[in-house]
Amino acid sequence: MTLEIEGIRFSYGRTPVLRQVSLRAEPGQLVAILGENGSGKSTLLRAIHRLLVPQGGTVLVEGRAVDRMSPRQIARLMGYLPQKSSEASFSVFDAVLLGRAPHLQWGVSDRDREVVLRVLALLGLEAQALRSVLELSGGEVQKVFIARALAQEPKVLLLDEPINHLDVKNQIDVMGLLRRVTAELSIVSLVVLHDINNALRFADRFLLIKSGEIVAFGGQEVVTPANVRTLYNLDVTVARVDGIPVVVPRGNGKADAPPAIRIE
Amino acid sequence: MSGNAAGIATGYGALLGHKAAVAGVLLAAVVLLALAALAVGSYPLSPGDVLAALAGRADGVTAHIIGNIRLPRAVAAVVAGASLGIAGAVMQNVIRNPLASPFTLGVSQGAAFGAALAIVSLGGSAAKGLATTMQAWLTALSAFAGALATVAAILMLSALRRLAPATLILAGVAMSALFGAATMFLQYFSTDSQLAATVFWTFGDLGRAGWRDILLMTAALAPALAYFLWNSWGYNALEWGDETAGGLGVSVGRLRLGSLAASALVAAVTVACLGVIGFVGLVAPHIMRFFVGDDHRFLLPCSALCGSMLLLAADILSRLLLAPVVVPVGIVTTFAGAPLLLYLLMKGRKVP
Repeated sequence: MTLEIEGIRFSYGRTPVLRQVSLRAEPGQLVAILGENGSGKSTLLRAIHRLLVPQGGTVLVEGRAVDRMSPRQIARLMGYLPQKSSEASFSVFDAVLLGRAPHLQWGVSDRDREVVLRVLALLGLEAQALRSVLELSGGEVQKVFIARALAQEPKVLLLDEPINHLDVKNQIDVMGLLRRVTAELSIVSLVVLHDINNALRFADRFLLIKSGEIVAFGGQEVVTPANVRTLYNLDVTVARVDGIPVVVPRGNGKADAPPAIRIE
Repeated sequence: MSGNAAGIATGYGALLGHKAAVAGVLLAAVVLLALAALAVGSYPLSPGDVLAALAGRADGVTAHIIGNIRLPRAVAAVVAGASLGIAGAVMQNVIRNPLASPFTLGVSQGAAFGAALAIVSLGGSAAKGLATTMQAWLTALSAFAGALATVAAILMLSALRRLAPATLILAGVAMSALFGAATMFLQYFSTDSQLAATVFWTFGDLGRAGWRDILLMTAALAPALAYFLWNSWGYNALEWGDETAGGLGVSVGRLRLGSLAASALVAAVTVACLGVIGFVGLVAPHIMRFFVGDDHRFLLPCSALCGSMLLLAADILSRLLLAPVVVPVGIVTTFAGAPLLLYLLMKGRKVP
């Protein structure tokens, strides 16, 4: 159940966004994608799912090329959670049931309902199952979206900034959840993150990209001060807290700020 | 399956049952209102008379009134209401804007302009009874062409300039204004009888419908209805945005184009047959969202039924308000629809 990406290229008109991106991930691995705004992280996820058709390269899921597949067939292999999503008036159950859409013709089978119930239990959403999505908190809504993607029974999960609008507690909850389901269901999760420390805490592999090119791909060891400076043009120190690497920007945040009022 | 899961399954079944019951109540309301529409009027008939006439066991006058005047009127209300209601629901979904409807997208105004153009350039008057059959058909055809031209222009704008779906509504407003001005321009240079005929077209009237019109409207509605219902899951996915829908395997561009074309066709045929009937297409989906939420497996059929119900009720009102004068139903729907919409928009909606 590996995910192999080989030489993906994509450009908007003449502007290249992805240049020859390749990576390989094994089942159960959570891969964090790190990079500054506009580095091509979101484009990479969309190109993998073929929401954007790449100009070159291949994507193989379990050795099968997705290039020739229909959008429905791809949706049975890969779940995708975009950065932004509208909210609509559905019950949580119905919102998750929508993840079965790529599998069903029109009618909902007993198996579809079973999958939904299983996913709801897996994500601890049983108490909310019959409530309207519009009544949920931000963290719960994000869990519903992850549940929907899991109801697709995907081999690969593509998540674009899933914890961006969540408070610290919910960020850790949702990331922990992703960590757990990725391992339990033995799938590959590619997660675009802005928070390097959450990435270091929860991910197995790290894909560092800048201007559509891979800077580094590997385990925790690739998150070095040098690489972080390349990615974000930022000086950092890597410390260790509870055995987990923690990236801290240099300086106390005040020293190099100009004084508010200059007195002569 | 754990007890928890069984509880959810039961509760979800009840939720679906509730939504199905809403559809059932609507269906019953449509049947009852249709019977009422057959009974009321300047020549009142008892429910017994109506049923007897429908069964073909009525005397000459009653049979004539029911068969030739009230039945086509009621059936037209059901078919046209369903067409406008479902077209509105689909447009609101694929354009991602709660203000979308045949009326707000300029489809209706395009049709009214087409009709006005035919009336003025043919030199005759297409008003009821005055027109020859040929003129009436040409006028309807021209109205249809006007409606399709509006939709084609909006679709081309969206394809060429890659307008965001929400911007389409603004394009529709611009098209409405353009066609409105063009219609007024024609009216300014038309004779009195032509003016009367063009104005007549701008407010829809159920009395205009003959069985031929009803057949035409049904022929347009039936395949569109099947297409819409088949794509219910696609619309449900679109409710969460294009990106989410794409991730769920929906071919967003194709669904949007096909749905806009089909809903515009249905609306265009309705306007061509009856004239402009505002607000039904806009309000019916909003009312139903209030009861069944955004699940299009229920929202679409319910919006169609609600459209029929609203148009039947408006028709009954239009004949009772100033009896024996019959107010065109288009005026009643707009009068009743506008405040209703305001009320609905001010109330939130959280239907599970």
